[in-house]
Amino acid sequence: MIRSVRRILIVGLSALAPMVAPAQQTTGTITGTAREQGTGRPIPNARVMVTGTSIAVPTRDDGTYILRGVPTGSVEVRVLALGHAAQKQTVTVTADGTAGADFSLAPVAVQLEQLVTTAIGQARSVEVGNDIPKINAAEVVQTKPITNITDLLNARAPGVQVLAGTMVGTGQRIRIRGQNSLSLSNDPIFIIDGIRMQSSTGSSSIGIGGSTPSRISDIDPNQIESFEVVKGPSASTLYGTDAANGVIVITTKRGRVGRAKWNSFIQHGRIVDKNTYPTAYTVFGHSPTGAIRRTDLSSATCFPGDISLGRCIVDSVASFNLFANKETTPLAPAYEEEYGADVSGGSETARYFVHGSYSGEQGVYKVPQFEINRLLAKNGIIPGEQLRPNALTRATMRANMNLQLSPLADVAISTAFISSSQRLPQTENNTTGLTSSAYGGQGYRTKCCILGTTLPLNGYRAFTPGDMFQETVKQDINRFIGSLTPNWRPLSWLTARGNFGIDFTNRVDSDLCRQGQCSDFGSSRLGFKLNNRTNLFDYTFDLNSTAQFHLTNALGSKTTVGVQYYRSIFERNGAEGDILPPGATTVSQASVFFGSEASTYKVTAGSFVEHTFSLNDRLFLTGAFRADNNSAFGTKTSVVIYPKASLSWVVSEEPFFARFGFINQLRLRTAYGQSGTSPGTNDALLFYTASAANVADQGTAALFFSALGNPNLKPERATEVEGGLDLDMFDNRASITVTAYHKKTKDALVARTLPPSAGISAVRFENLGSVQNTGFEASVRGQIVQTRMIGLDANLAYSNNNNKLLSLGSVPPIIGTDIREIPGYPLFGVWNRKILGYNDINHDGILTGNEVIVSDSAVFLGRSSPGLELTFEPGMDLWNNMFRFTAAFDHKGRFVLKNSNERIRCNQRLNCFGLTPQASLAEQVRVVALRDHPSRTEGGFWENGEYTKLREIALTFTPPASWVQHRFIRADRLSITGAVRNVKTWTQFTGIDPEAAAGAQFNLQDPFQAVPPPRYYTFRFNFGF
Amino acid sequence: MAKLKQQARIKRACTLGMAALLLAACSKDKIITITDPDVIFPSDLGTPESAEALRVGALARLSDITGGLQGSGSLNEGIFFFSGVLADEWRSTDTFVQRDEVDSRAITLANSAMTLEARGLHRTRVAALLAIPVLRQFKPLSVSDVGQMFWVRGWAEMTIAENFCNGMPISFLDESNTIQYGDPETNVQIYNRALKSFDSASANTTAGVARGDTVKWLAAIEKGRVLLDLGDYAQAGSVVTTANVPNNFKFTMSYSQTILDNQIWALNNSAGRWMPANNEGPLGLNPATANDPRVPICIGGTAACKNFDPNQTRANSFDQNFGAGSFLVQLVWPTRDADISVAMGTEARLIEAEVALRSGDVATFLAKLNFLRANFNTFKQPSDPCSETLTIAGCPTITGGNLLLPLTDPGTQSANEDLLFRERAFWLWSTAHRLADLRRLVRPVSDGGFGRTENSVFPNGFYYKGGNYGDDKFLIIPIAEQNNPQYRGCLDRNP
Repeated sequence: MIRSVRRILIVGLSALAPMVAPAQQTTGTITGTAREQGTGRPIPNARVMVTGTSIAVPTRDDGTYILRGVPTGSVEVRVLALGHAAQKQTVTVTADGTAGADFSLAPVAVQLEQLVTTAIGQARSVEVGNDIPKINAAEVVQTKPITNITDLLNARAPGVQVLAGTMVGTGQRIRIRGQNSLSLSNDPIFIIDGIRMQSSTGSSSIGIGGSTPSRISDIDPNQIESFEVVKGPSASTLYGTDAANGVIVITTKRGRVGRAKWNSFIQHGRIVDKNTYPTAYTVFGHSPTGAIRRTDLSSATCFPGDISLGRCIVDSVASFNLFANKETTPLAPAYEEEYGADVSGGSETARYFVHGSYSGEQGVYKVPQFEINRLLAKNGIIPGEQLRPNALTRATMRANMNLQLSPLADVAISTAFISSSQRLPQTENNTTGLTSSAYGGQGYRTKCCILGTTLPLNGYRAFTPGDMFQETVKQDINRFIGSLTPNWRPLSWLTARGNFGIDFTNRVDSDLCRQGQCSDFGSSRLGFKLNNRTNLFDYTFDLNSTAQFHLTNALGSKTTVGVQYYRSIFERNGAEGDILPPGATTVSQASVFFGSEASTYKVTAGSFVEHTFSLNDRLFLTGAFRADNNSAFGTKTSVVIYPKASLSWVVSEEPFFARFGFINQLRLRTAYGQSGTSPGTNDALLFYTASAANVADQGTAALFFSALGNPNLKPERATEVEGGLDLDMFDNRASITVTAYHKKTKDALVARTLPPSAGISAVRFENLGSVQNTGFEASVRGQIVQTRMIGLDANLAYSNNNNKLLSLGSVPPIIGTDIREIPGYPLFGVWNRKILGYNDINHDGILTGNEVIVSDSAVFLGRSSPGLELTFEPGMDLWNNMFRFTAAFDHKGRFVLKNSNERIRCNQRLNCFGLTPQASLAEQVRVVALRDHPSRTEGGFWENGEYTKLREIALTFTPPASWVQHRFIRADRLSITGAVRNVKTWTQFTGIDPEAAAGAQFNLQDPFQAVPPPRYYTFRFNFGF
Repeated sequence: MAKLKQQARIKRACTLGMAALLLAACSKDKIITITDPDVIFPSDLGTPESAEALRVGALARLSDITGGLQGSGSLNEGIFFFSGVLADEWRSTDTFVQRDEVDSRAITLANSAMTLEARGLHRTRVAALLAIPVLRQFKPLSVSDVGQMFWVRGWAEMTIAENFCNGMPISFLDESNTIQYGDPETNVQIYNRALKSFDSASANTTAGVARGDTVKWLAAIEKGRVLLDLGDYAQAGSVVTTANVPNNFKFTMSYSQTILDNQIWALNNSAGRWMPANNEGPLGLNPATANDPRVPICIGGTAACKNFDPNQTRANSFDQNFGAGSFLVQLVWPTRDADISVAMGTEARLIEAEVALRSGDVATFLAKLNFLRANFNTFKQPSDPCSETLTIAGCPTITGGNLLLPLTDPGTQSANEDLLFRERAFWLWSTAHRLADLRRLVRPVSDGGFGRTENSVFPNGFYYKGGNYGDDKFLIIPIAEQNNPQYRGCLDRNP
């Protein structure tokens, strides 16, 4: 006991270095095999570990393992394997002797105890006081319609809300346990193979109207073994500043000891847009004197008000839906394809995993037929990149190695190179974009004219796709992610571990309008070219050391100390050339040039100490703190300290626990922790900026007072308490996980609006706010039926989130057109003047402004992001698992969504149904409130955003090994999956789709001129030998 | 042997631990500190060159708030547009409701475009204010540069008072860069601030130096303008006459494609987000039908427009909802690099004409106006393509040797006042004079105004995009000002 206490003092207080040599130790070896109970099949890649030490190895392909350097005496050996119940044995080890321990693990449908990745390395889930869902990505990718990492993350873990981009290659929004920050990012950070990954969701210097590429989407899901979701500050404390919004930890696949194993896959998909788009209406009429009147004739309108006053006598109502017409639709079926192969294997001293893949995907947007005819007649050719303006191709190479340098040291090397090329169309909130014209056109095709021609617009408002898609926006990515993870175990009780790596991205954004091409807007047709080249570097240096041992037979101790350094660099050079000669496509060929340079740097340095006491290997008490400094903190803010504590108790293993036949394991857990989010790089600084000013027609250097800065700036600090239980029942056939959390963000950075009269910058960041998130998460997983012929299983996950802005400090409420930040209400709450009722006083069937009742002031209409999510994933196995059918339903509720497309269609485009005399009073009222009521309120266009999606269905055929083992190719694995994504949506929202968002990555989900998600049909063939 | 190995491992562990400790003990400043090349710190400003760059920066702010500034989150339209859309010079043909609100004289407190105008005016004021001490310290011999900054400050103060209601605070940054929040001030208080600024501008000039003369004339023109706003026309005339402002004097903001387009061209001729108003509401100015060379107008996309800018192809407004008639394009600034004169000798002569009229000297009044009309080339905006000596396609024809025929006495004081304000409206079109003139027209005589009724001056009745015109006669204190603890909003609705 005294010796152990001394060790704690040595390791804990001397920060890494055991200054006093412990007594001599002698060791032995344990060998054995892990097999599946019942079948006797060897279990590869199971984790075998000696409890209370750092000694752990994976099993080989044949299920065997060797544990070396095990302290003599009685030790406990534990085996964890995916899909199997954990098992432990007590083994006696003699000095320089070899002991044997074979394991027979029962296959289980649900698994509570598994290995999870923490900031300080891997740990058994029961040791951690948090709920950290772990998703077996390798299995999901093989059996579901997955084409990108967003599909992989979406609706897999309770409390994790994902809003996918709706165009090929566009970014996503991920929110874990609600939104914490008014002014800073609410995105989680990503860790891949131990290092920070560049995960910006708005990663482009060229906008197309809202959506942008995301660096998360660069990662090929086929390389991922698993990902874990570290949900909040109580679990993410040791990840340091910026982890307050959660951490997604990605582990890529690695080689296993054994012969070379090849896996290959082919996936082909068809992408079809099955959405229903709004129809355009135009009311034709005449005045009492016979003059033509029309809804789109601004000098002589035929609005309901005109009809009511007798100014317009309706002749007809024309309607046209250009999306439903083969000649005019800009939509066409597209394809998705993926090809890949990997090989893995190796010896105990060197394991390898080498993967290569290629994927290509095309968006559903296409120049419509009437435009093809026009452009072919004009130019003779339509380049493919203009015909199909949305596409992504990506090639990925990954090589992972695990080297056993000595019995005491190993190193994991992970490298990946990604090369991708993406094209994006002009669309969304973009005057010359597709949806601005396609949603805004009139109810007839003949309206004149396509600019510069005498041809009709064919239902488009101002510009037509043939011209729009001539503007070619591209992004080319070359990215390297490399990490080195050395492990050194100089003593059986001491481990030193490092994570060193770089994530480097070279990004080239370009935008080209050739001379005489593109929409005739501004000076576009004179031609221009943008070429912006960006380098993004993310460096990680992470070093820690863990000492673990038994203080007594029952009491274990584990101490980890570490330091971490993270540096992020963004450097961009941009060039723009305007006025291109015919045929020119480069900046240097232009007549007028512009140059730009932008840089952003951020550094975080921190150190931490964590200590865990374990009692009888079933009660785990952890305390920790992390000290951080960050380059973005103000000069008056030095180190910030984030504390953490957790308790995990496997109560079912206590002798006093009343045994219930149906309970296999019950774990109670609670955790407390803090984490932060750093301000923007220059938010703390008072500085000037420079640019050229035009004085007497000469470019002259000018200086501008730019930002007031705030020397007191510090990170937002989120404090979270969570508690819950994990219950494993009915012979591991069912599990329940329940978690409640309370998260409070203090010192929330408020972009305090400075009064215009100050004459300086518009905002200054101050640590003023306070935000609270509370919620409840539960998941139930079970194997309902399991026979040889049929198996039924289901996974039900529920999460809710209650978000409230507690305080804005001394700042008055922040008032926007629709969004207000008001204490006592949710962050990004929706406020507007509400329609209280209507009364057709003159009974003419037409409402006018004086017949609509609107609240006197703006009232709270609801949350702008879902407060509730429910996912249900049933599965069915047939004929001894030869066929597996799965489905995924996803429900999101408790929020409002603005039908902003209809708002602009009624107010400016003048083509909505509510403007026709056929509209019922209920359909007219929000249009009248918007156009004719003095309030001009848009409140009527905020609708219940609740929806349910049948997100995916999949059928996988896995023939028995005997069917595919051919004497020539020795195949041992084959599966074929047919799947559909975005199958069906049920909602009362009257917009196109509740998941359509012009820029999914933003805090606010705005369907304004957004495109909805298309449907994917995928067919995947997995083959291994 | 095993013990020796064990000790070696322990030594290595110790070495590793010590290395980690050393790393942790590194100077945190060295590890954490970064230098962003995009920013310039106050410590970099201690040179004559930086003083000059601050002066140019203040002029650039002036250019932004007058002609406009392109870019996301920036002004887009300057006060030359925004003031004119509330008056009768411009019509919003945009889909942004903020612009429609101002066009229809029904401005809401949260109008973000109006907030940008307020912020832009104050930024101009503060930029000049920050440049003055640095110029005095590092360019002590360039006195007129200091005078020019006082003029910029005064121009911003004057424009705030002319366009916003009573109640705009004037805040400052103190020496420690802390905001000193200003109390709400009436327009008269702010006009008096502007007068002091113009006096300081005049006092900081060096005789015989070109910039000194320029500042002196600028200060005189704007001081005369403020005095008219205050109803002190006698003093206004005296100031302008004493300064002897040349007829051809122009202080001009430059534009070019490489640095900044002329935003009046960009937002009307090119993007169609604004359109010159014609008989708005319905008594507004009528440049499209007046056939007046001071505000030449063409119909978008026609040969008349392309005559001045071959790329002017836009025949429809941005919102495709510009009301009756055709989409109109202004030709005062017909190209993207057309320069804008923000102060001209023209205004000095107009002030003198008004002084004569208000003094009862109708003959001098008409003579002054006709002198201007007879010398069109001298007094027009420099980029106006029309000429008094050459017949230009798209401009009125020269009749009897006059491009602008001489005016005659309409016979009544009221009609002469109408004549004065119409002449001012055409000569000073879209340079943020019109709203102040309309406010002067409806201001009580006791406050130096002309006592006209609101509906005889401001656009009113049915607004073509729906509903009726509101009753705003000025921009209101924006909601963002609530972050000033002294905020009280508009103190009253007085014009």
